[in-house]
Amino acid sequence: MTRFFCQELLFDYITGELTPERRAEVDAFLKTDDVCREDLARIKKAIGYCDQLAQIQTPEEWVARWQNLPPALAKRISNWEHRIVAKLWMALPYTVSVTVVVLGVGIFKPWRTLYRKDVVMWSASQGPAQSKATVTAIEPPSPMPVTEVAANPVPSPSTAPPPPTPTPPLANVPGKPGPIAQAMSNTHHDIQKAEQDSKDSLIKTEELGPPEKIEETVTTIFGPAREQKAVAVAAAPAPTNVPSAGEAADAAPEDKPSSLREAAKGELYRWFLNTDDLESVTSDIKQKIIALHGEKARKVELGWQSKNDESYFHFTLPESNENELATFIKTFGPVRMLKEKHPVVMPQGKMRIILIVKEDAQAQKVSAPANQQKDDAADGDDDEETEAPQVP
Amino acid sequence: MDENIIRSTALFFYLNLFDSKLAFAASQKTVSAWRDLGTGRRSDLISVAHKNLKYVRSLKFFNLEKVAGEFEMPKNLNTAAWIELKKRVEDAEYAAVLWSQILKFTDDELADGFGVSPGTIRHRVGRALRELGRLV
Repeated sequence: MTRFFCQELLFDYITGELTPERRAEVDAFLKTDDVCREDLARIKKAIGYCDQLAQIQTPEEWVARWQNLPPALAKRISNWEHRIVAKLWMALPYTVSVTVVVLGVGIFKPWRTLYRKDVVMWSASQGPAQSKATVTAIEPPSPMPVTEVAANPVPSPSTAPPPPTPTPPLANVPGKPGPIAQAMSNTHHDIQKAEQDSKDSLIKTEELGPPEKIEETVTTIFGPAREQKAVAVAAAPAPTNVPSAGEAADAAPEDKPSSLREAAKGELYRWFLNTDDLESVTSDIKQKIIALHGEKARKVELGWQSKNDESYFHFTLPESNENELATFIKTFGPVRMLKEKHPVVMPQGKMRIILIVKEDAQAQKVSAPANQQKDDAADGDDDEETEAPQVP
Repeated sequence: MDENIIRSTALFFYLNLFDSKLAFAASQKTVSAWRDLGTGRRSDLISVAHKNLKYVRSLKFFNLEKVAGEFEMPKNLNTAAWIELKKRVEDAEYAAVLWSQILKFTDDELADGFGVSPGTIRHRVGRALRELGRLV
């Protein structure tokens, strides 16, 4: 054993960590080495000094304070993060749902779809409720003879007819089903697809090209009973400004009637009337519409009072009776007439009108001077009442 | 919380810093951090305390809150030898003798806290005690 080795073992010697053999060796060396004996005494002295230091008393205030110590700031932040993250995950489905709804509303604009759906529902309501079917009919620019359509049996919906020949696109061949009957039997869709068709009709119209070709494409949506009705209307005594079938087939586009309504297929007319006596005017107009063979469109009765000061007429009318009805309505006050494009096209000879009669005496007074000015400029040409508001 | 942990922590920092304010700030931070660890091991207190010892030395330049209470010293205790020991021995030896002989932590706990073997701990303690014996 060396001095260095003995010095390294002195602490273990004091604490009793050495084996008996090693302890005996250290004892033997300590008897011969004064330096190691001094080191042993120093270590014992230092341990006694450390015991004194260990008696230093910590202030009781510290102990009492730290025994109820709040969590560290970092720990509090961590706990808060855990809670927030958990809540965020719970809120994720709601966030995604709201985002999808907002994006869907912004992209698809459902109010437009609903508006078209209203028109489709109106068309379907004209036929039997159980026969909600869609027929895409291609008609010539002039009304078809009813006898020819009626003489040709309508093929069953399951029969797939050949595609229509392009030249002549709409000529009637004796012994074969007429174009209307062919078209009627072409496609029977359910009412849901009718909505899509109505949406696409504008696109189809754009794809067809020139205006005269567009006029040859008519899209109507109605049931089988409505088909018969449409044909009957086409075969009714033609109004004075509507050419017969033969004349229309032979006529060039520029030979067509000058009335814009004749050429404007897929349109909706909106009339607005202000009056100071709503009830009597509503009643009179309703009777007049019925007398002129007007029919309510959709389910709303003629003269339905949507508001206290407003009555609403949504009806179809033979085009030949439009002037008479307009003249009658003008007797109650100035009428503002608008015409707007619409994907659904009315059967030949019929027009669809939405008339809103509003009780507003002051408005009538205010608009009177303006009406007088417009009367001077319009020269009373009723045929030009189209895009711009016109007050006769 | 274990009262011995609190007292050991406070005394460790006091005997390292000899400043009540610094010792209070460091002890509070250490006790809170050790409790938030949630392990309950005494050896973790050693590692946490030595981390905060480095941090708390930078606090001496700041105004620390006033501390209520003072450490009570035993009579006839001369701390000059202990202060001198800090200059004479390495930090590891100083810490070993402090945790082992004053705070009464076991060799295994120190070995776990410092990440060394128990033999190394005993060696450090022996060397520091020999030096301390010369100073006392």
